[in-house]
Amino acid sequence: MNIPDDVLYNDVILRVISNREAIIENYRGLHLYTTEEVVIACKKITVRICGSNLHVQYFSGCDMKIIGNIDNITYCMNGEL
Amino acid sequence: MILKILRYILGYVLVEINGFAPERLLNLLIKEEIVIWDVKQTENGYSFNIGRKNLINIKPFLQKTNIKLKIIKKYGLPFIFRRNKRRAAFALGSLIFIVIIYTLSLFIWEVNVTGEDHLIAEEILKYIENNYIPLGTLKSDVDCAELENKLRNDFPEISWISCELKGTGLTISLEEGIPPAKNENNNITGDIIAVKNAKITKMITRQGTPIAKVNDKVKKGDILISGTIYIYDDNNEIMETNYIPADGDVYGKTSYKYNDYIDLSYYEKEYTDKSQRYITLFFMDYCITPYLPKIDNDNFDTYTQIHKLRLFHNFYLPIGYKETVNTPYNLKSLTRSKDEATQILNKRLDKKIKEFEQNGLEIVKNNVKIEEENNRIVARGKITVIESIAGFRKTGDNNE
Repeated sequence: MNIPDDVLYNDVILRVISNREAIIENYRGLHLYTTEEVVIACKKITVRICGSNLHVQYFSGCDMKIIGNIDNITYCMNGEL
Repeated sequence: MILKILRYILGYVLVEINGFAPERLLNLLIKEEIVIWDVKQTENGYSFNIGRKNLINIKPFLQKTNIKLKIIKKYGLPFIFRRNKRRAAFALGSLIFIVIIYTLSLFIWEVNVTGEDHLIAEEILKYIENNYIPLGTLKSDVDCAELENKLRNDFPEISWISCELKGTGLTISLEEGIPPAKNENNNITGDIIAVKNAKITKMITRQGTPIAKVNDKVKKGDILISGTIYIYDDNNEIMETNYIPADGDVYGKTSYKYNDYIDLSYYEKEYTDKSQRYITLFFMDYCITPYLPKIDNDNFDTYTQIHKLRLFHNFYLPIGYKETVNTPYNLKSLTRSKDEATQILNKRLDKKIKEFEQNGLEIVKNNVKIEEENNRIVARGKITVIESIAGFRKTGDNNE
C-alpha cells in the first residue's frame, strides 16, 4: 500500500514559496514567535524559521502560514534546542 | 475573498493578549483547533483576529494561562446590527418600502397615447383601458406586438403604431393615415338609388342604365342608375337580363330644415371670491379626503386636477392626490337686446353653413328668417343645397 509518510508517521509538511511564505502542516505547537524568529514544535522535530518581518497569517488546527522575509529554516531534533 | 465575506457576515474581533508566555495560549488554541488569523507581535504580547463565537470558547484557556485579553475592535454584521438595534423599525420600514416599490413596479399604472389627433388619441386611450389593459395589469401579461395588431384591426385609420413599456407606463405612439377605401361595391351587382328626396341637378353615369334624368324629382329609394341590363331581340322582347354593378355620380337639390332660438332673458354665473380648495388622496380606486370644506352656496363649479406620483421619469405609482377647487357662483338674471340675440343667431347660422360647405355641400338658397316669438328670438327656415344623393343597393335588396 502506498500510504504517504506524512499520514503514516504524522510527519511535518513544509511548503515554502520563495522566501516570502511558508505553510506548515501537522505541527503541534509554537515555542517562540517574534518578528525575527518563529520556532514551531512538531512530532519528532522542531522547525526554526529565521528572517525579518515574520508574521503568522493564520493558525488553525492542522496548518499555519508564516509570511515575511525568510532567511533560513533549521530543523532540530526534539530536545536539542 | 469568500472567506473574508464569510468572516464579515459571522463577525470577528481583533484582540490583544498580554501576560507571561502568551505562546502557551496560542498552543492551546492550536490544540483545540480554534482558528485565529493575522497574528502580530505587539509591544505587550500578541494581537490577532478571532471569530465572534470562538471568543467565548477561549475564556477557560485565558484563566488557565493567566493571560489578559483586550478587545481592540469588533468587525462584522452582528456588531452592526447590535449597534443599530434601536433603529430596527427604520430598517424594517426601509425593507417594506423596497418590497412595495418592487411589487408596484410589476404592474402598469399609466397608459399614454401620443398621436397627431388629440381626439383619436383620447378615444384610443379609453378603448385600451376598457378593453385590453385596465390600470393595474401585470406587465408580464402585456404583449406589445399583439396589442399593436389588435389596435390596428380595431382602428383602420391608424397607419403606424408602436407600443412601448417603460417603467410602469405603457406608451403608445401612433400616426393616422387615410382609411383604405371601401371596395365593397366592386363586383357586387346593384343599383344606384336616391338616399334623399331631391331634384336632380347633375348626373354622370359610368356604368349601368340611367333611369332618372336631370331636373327629375326623385324620392328616397328611387332607382337612379339601374344595374340591370336587358338585351332585346329583334322582336323587341327581352332575350337576356344581365346584372352589373351600377356606378355614377348623381347630385340633387335637397333642403334642410333649420330651427334655432335664443331666449331674451337668460342667467349668467356670477362667481364669488370664496373659492375653496381641498386635497383628496387616492390609492388605486380608494380615496380619502382629510378635510372637506363646507360650501354655503348651492351652485358651484368644480375643477379637479389629478396628480399621479411617479419616481424618476417613467415609474408611475397608483398613488397620488387630486386637487379640487370649488368656485361658488350666484345666478344673475339678465336680459339681452333683440340685436344681440339676432347677432348670436346669425353667427350660429354662419357656422352651420360653413359646416355644410366643409362637407362639400353647395348652398343654393337660404331662406332662414329671424323673428321674435314669445320673448325669444327664433331662426327658422330652409337651407337648400346641392349634394350627392347617390347610394348603392345590392341586386335583390329592392323589396326591402
